[in-house]
Amino acid sequence: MAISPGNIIVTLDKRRLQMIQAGLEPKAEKVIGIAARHIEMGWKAEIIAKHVIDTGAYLNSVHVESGHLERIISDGVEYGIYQEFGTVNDDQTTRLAARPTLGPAVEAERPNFLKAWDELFR
Amino acid sequence: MNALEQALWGTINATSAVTNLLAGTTSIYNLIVPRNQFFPAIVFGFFGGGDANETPRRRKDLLYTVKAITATSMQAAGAIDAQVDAILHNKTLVVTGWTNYWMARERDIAYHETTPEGREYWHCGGIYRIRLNPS
Repeated sequence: MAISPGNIIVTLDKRRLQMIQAGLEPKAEKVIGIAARHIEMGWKAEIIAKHVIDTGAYLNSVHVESGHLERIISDGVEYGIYQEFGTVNDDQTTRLAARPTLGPAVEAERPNFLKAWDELFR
Repeated sequence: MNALEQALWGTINATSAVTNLLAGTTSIYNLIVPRNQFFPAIVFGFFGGGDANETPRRRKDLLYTVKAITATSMQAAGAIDAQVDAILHNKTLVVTGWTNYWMARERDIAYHETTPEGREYWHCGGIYRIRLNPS
C-alpha cells in the first residue's frame, strides 16, 4: 500500500504479519491443549500431595473437555468446591480447612502458558 | 507466609467498617474458624503461587483467599466482602521485611454450605494476587 500526499510515500509491509497469521490457529490449539493437560496433571498431583483422597472419586473425576480454542478442566464431584475453599461445619467429619488443589495447579502453569502464548506472535 | 498473614490480619482488624459486621473484632482467622466460635467471621488463607524465580532479585507472587462467612444470608456475607474489598483491592499492605508492590482482587468466591445437621453457612469473598519484594 502506498500513500503519497506531496513527496511522502508510506509503504505497509504485511509479509511478516501474514507469516505469523499462517498456521496460527493450530499452533494456538497446541499451546492451549498442552496447558490444559499440564493443569489436569498438576491438579491430580496436588490432590495426591495434600491427601485429599478417600475413595478416589475426586481424583479420578478430574478431566479435560476440548472445544475450538478452548479447554475446560473440571472435576465431577459436588464437593470439590468444599475441598478447594473449606467448610465451617462444627462436627467431626465435614469440617474442612481449605486445601486448594486446582488453584495452585493453574497458578503453576500460568507462566509457562503466557510464555508459550507470547511465542506464537514472534 | 507469616509476615504477610500478620499484615492481612492486622489490616482487616484495624478497619471498623469490617469488624463492626463481624461477631467480634477478632473474628478473623487463618484457614479455618476454630471450634465454638461465632459468625459472621472472616477466613483468609494461602491459595497458590510462590517465588517467581525469574531474575536473581527475589519476587513473591502469591494468591490468597479472603472470604466472609455468615450463618444468615449471602447478602450479609456480601456486605462484609464489599468492605474487605475496599481495603484490599489495589491497596498496599505493610509487611515486615517485604515491600508489597501489588495487591489486586482477581476472582470472586461465593458458595453455600449445608451441614448434615441442617445448619447453613454462606461464603463470599475473593482471591487476591499479592506481589512482594524483599525490603
